[in-house]
Formats: sequence, C-alpha cells, structure tokens
Amino acid sequence: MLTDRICDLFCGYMVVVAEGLGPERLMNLCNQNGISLRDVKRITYTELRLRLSFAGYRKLKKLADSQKYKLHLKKSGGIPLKIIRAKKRIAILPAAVFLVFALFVASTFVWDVKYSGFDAVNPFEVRELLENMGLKTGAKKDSINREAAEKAVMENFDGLAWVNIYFMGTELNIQVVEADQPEKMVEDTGVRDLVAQKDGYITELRVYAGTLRVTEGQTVRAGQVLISGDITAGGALIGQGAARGEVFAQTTYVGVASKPLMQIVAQKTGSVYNMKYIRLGGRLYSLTREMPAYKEYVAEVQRVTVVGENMPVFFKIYDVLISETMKASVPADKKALSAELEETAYNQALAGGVDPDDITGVNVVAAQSDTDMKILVIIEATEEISQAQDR
Amino acid sequence: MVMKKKRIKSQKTGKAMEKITRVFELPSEILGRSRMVLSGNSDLFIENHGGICKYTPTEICVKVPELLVCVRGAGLLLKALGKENLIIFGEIGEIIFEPERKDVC
Repeated sequence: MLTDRICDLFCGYMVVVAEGLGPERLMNLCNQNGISLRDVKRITYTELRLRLSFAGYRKLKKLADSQKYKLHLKKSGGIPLKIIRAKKRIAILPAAVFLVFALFVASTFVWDVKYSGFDAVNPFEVRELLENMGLKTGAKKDSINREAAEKAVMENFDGLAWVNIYFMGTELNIQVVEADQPEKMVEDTGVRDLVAQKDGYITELRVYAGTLRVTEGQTVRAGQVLISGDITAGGALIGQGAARGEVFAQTTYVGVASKPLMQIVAQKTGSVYNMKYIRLGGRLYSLTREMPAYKEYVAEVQRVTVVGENMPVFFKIYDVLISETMKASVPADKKALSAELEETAYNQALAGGVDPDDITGVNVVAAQSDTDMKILVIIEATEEISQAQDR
Repeated sequence: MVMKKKRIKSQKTGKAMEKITRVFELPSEILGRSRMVLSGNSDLFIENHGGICKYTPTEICVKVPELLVCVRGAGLLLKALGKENLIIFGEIGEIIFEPERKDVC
C-alpha cells in the first residue's frame, strides 16, 4: 500500500471511470498493451472504476477511443501532474526565483541581536559599545568584524572572562561568561568583644580567637560579654584583637493573648428591606425609595444582573438586602476563641525574632477567669546568640 | 493429420517435462503453469494469468493456462491487474477450477 502511494506520488495517478459494454474486454486490452490497473471496481454493468498511472492513462485514452469506450476522469494527483499544471502558470518560476533571491538577500542581514550570560556586567553598556561598532539589527552580516568586537568587549569590561559573538541564521548572538571575582579581604584590626544579644542558657561554646568569659550551663543576660578580645598568656594580658567564636544558647520567647468570654455581636432584629441599585458608567443609582432609618444594619448583595453584557454599553442591577441589627452580648465559642488566642500568642512570640528553624519546643498554657480567657505561648529555641561589639 | 501429429508430440513433450520437474523437484512454474497464493480469505494473488473472463462484485473468472479459475464471494475487486499477475481482494467464498469454457471466455 505504501509503495503504491509512493509510486502514485512520483509517477502520478489517475482515477477514471470507463464506460462501455463488456468492461472485461477493456481490462484484457489493457493487459495486452502493458497498462497496469489498480483498484478495479465494477460500479455498474457498463461502468468500471480504475486507477492507473499517468503514462498508463495516455495509452488507455488512445485505446478507449479506438474501442469506443468513454473515459471520465474522476481524480488525479502526483508530482508529474503538478509539474504539467505548473508549466501553464508562467509566473510561478519567476516568483520562485524572486522568492529565493529575496530570502538570500534577507539572510545577509542581522534580524535580531541576543545577549546572554550577563549578570554583574551591564548588558546595555555592552550593547552600546557593540552598536557603535555596527553590531545592531539591520546591519549587513559581511560588514561585522566579530573578532574585533570580541576583543573590544573584553578590553572594555573587566568582569568578563570570555566573549563569543556568533551568527545563528540571521540572529546575532553575544554570549559572555563573567569572571568569578574573589571575595575582598578585609583586614580586621579593631578590638572587638562578642556579647550576648539576648538572654539565654548557654549550651555550646566555640572560641576561635579571644578569651572566654562564660561557661557552658551558665545563664547570660543580653549585653553580657561572652568572649572578650583580650589575648592572655598565663593570666597576663599580652594583646588585644577581635574576638571570634560561636555561642549557642537555649532561649525562650513568650507571647500572651487574652479576650473576654462574652462578645458583643451585631444581631439581626428581623426587620429587612430590599433595595435595588443600578450601576451606570461607574456611578450607583438607587431604583427604590430610601431605606427606613435603621440605626445599625448590614447590607448583603443578593443578586447581580448584567444587562447588555458583551455590548458597548451595559449596566448592572444589584439586589441588596438591608437587615436591621442591634448589638448584643453573647457568650463566645470557647474552642474557637482558644484557637484564635493561641495563634495570636504564637505569632506574638515569634515576633521576638526567633528563626523558626531554631525552635526546639512550644508550650501552651491556658488560663480562664470568669470574664476572660488568656493563652500563654512559650517558644523554646537553641540559637547562636553572640554579637560583635567594638570596644 | 499433421496437426494431430503435432498435438500428440507436444502432449508427449509436456508429459516428459512434467516427469522431469517431478523427479528433480523443480517448481511447476517452469511448465508455464500459473501460481496462486491465497492469504486468508481476502487476498488471492495469481501469477501468469491469461486475462479476465468475467468480472462482477460477486464473481471474478480468470483465465490461467489450461484452466479457468472462478473466484466467488462478496465485494470482490481487482486490487491490481498487471500483464503477468493480478490480485483479487474481497471476501472470497469459494474458488472453482474449471476446464476452459468457450461460453464464459
């Protein structure tokens, strides 16, 4: 089947209906004249639908004329037929030539410039430099000296390790690799102590430089010196410098939240009034008369009707239910209140400045009086508390 | 008389060739016989045919050397018809081998 289709494509094919008495005779004549037939189907007593090659069709036509068979062409296709049809269209060849020429000419220009690999170096500065050298959209590809441009970029920008300018079709790509800058060495010559930035119970100490002023298991207060910048030998001070080290301590953060057990809420009295509003051009107009003079009320939009949707001018009609309310004191839902207070207290404790990754435990204490509920949240954390302080 | 002698001679030659092919286990195509390959009940390939005698969607009769092969079934069509071979496609019900008939061909 596939080979037939390929053959049809390259040799051309015709589907014809041969009409005449005794179609078998026509088939045998085709056979004798070397005309290969395919998909031969007898449609009626006198009609035969057959598929044959373009060359075969020419032979069959002559044969059918001589034998008084009528041929009706139903379908045709394939490259040879397309070529024959194309021959009749005299403008096609010049148009094709012009198209190829236009493509060729267009491909000799830069259509787009792409910059990649920029991070620390400003690509706009590189672009400005390259545009001055003629590397811009619309430039002729032949006129671009890539080596010189690469050299210029490298010389003008210190932060670049490698530059590559290349064409990808009509696209000019400027690809750079930035140099890894070494970290600046800062000479630390000042005298500095490490002090506690918050209260805590010391659990671990690491001293890299300086003299230790506290011990593990000691409770320290904020501002207390942990490691001093004094350098001692045998108890005698021999010099001073910047203390370095790490001090880990167990710290606590407390959050408290309380609320009354009775809450004042707006309770609906049952008196309601329906209002209708129309919104036109950003302004709201009332369609009903003014609402009764409720002292307190809540308004709920019941329905919104859009009239003239997808039209140049449209408007919306709002059905609003106005319910009169009055303040009433009702007992609060203790479970919900407790959860709300716990969350508030926890957030309050977190606001003390603890890193959530350092948290080791959370304790919640709830207390309730006749009128209030109180929640206390204590967050325990183990964290590094040292902070450098110039002497 | 001469014709009869010629026919007898050709018959004798044919029989001798048949014996040779049988003894040497040669393919019978060399005797000028047709070869038929039936795939399931949908494709029948006939090589070395002598033309179409009858062609309808329910019956196709093909002339092969010394025989008439009638294929009967439903929706029959000639998938390919070349100088030497042809393919009959369709729902083949039966294949009948008949001696050459003047009324059909």
